[in-house]
Amino acid sequence: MRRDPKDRRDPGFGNSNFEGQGYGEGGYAENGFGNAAYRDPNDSERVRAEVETAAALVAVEGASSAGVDTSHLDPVLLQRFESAAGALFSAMRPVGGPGAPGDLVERLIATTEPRAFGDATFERRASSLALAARRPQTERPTPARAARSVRANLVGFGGWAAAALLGLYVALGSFGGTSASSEPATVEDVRTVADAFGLRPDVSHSPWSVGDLTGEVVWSDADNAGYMYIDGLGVNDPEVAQYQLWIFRGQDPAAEPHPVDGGVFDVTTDGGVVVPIDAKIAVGSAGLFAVTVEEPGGVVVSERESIVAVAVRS
Amino acid sequence: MLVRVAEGDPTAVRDVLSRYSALVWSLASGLSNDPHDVEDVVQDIFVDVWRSAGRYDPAVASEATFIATIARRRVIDRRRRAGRRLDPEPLEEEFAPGESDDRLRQIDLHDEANQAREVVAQLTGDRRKVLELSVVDGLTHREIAADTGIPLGTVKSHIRRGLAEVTERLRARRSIQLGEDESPFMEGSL
Repeated sequence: MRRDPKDRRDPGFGNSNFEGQGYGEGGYAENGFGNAAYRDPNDSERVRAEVETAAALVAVEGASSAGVDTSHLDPVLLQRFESAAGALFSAMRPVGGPGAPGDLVERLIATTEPRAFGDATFERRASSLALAARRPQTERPTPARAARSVRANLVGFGGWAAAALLGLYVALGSFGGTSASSEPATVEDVRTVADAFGLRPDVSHSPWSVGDLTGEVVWSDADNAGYMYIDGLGVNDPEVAQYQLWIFRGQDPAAEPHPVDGGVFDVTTDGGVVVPIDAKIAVGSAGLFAVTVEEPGGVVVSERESIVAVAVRS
Repeated sequence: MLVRVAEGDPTAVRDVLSRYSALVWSLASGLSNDPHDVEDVVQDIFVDVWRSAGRYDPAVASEATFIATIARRRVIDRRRRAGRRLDPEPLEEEFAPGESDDRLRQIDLHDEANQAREVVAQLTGDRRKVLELSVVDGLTHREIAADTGIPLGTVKSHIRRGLAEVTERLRARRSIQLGEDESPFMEGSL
C-alpha cells in the first residue's frame, strides 16, 4: 500500500536517533556489522554508520547476500537506498544492446496488460469490466472484505445450515427463487444441489475464483435462473452499499454493454453465501456472471466501477 | 500513473507503457544482444511494476526511479541466474545513454538520474569502481572485495557512502517538488 507521506517515518541521517528507532545494542554484532564501538550507546555516529551500511548492502544485494536480518532495518531507510540504487543504475547503465522494436508499447500491452490486475482469467475479465473505473479504492463504498475460510465456516455447522440446505433444494428445484437476500452456505451445499440436477443438460455448474474470492455458479438457460455461491465477500451495510449481480450473455464483458440485472443482495454474515440469480428479463444463453458494489437499491446500468466477483460459465 | 494502476485503472497501463517502455528497454538492453531476451526481461519488469504499483511513494522517488529500481532488481536477477556479468562501457560514455532517444528525453528520470550522475562524476578510483560493480553489475560486497583486492570494510563503506549521497540528493529533490521544507540531511555523517 502506498504510504501517506505525512505519516512516514523519516530515517534521517544527521538528525536521527537510531537508539530510539530500535537500533540499540545487539543485533548487528551477530550479522557481522557490530564491534565494540557499536555496543557503546554514546557512539551514535558509529552506530549510524553500521545501520546505514547494513541497509545499503541489503538495498543493493538483497538480505540473503548481504547477510543482514532486515527486521532490524528501518524500512524507510531501506526504501530510500533502494531508490538510490535505481537512480544510480539509470545513471550508469551500459550502452549498447539491441534497439527497442517500434511497436514495443503495443507488444507490452498484449503481453503484460492481462497481468496488471492479477494472473487469473477471471481477473482479466474483471479488468475489462472495470474499464470505466476511476475512483480510488479507498473511496469505494465497498464493504470490508474479510479473509475467511470455508473451514472456519464449517465450525458449528448445524441446524441452521440444514435449513439453508433444505431451502436451497426447494429453491433450486423450481429455479424460481427471487429472494434478494443471500443465504449462508458452503460450497458443499451447492455441489450437492448441483449434483441433484446433474441429469439436466441445461444446468451448468461452474467453479470460479477471483483473488481471495472463490465460488461456484449454477445456472439454467431453460429456467432463466440459478444460484451463485460466493466465499470471501465482506458483510455490507445496506444503508451504505449493496451488492448487485449481473448476467452477461457472452463471456466478453466489453462486448456486452447491457448485462441483465440479476438482483441486489446483502451479505449479512461471514462465510460462504448463496445468492439466487434473479434475472429480471430473459437472458437466453448466459456466459458470465459478475457482482458489483452499488448504491443502496442497486442501479439500472452499472458504472462498472466496483467489480468484486466474476464467474465464467463453463 | 502508478497510483492509477494500483487503483485498477486499465487505461493507466497503456499510459505507463507509453511513457516508460523505452526507458526500461534501455535499462535491460545491456543484458543481451538478442532482442527476444531483452523483451523477455522487459515484460518481467512491467509485470513486477504492475504488482508493486501500490507501494509507490512519491515522497521517496519519481515514478521513473521507482520503475528503474524494479528494473535493476530484475536485470541483476537475470544476470545472476545466467551466471554472467555485463562488460560495461567506460563510465564517461555511459553518462549520456539514450540521449539520442526522443522517448527518453521526455522522462523525468533524467531529473533523478542526473542527480545520481553528479554524485558518480565526483567519485574517483576505487569508490566509483566499487559502486559500479555493486549497483550495475550486481556483485556482492564480498565478490567485489575478492575481485578487486579492496578490503571488505572499505568496499562496504564505498557502497554506503555512494547510496547515502544519492539518497540525500533525491530526498532534497523530492522535498522541493512536493513543496516540503528541506531539512538538514546527513549532516556530518559522511
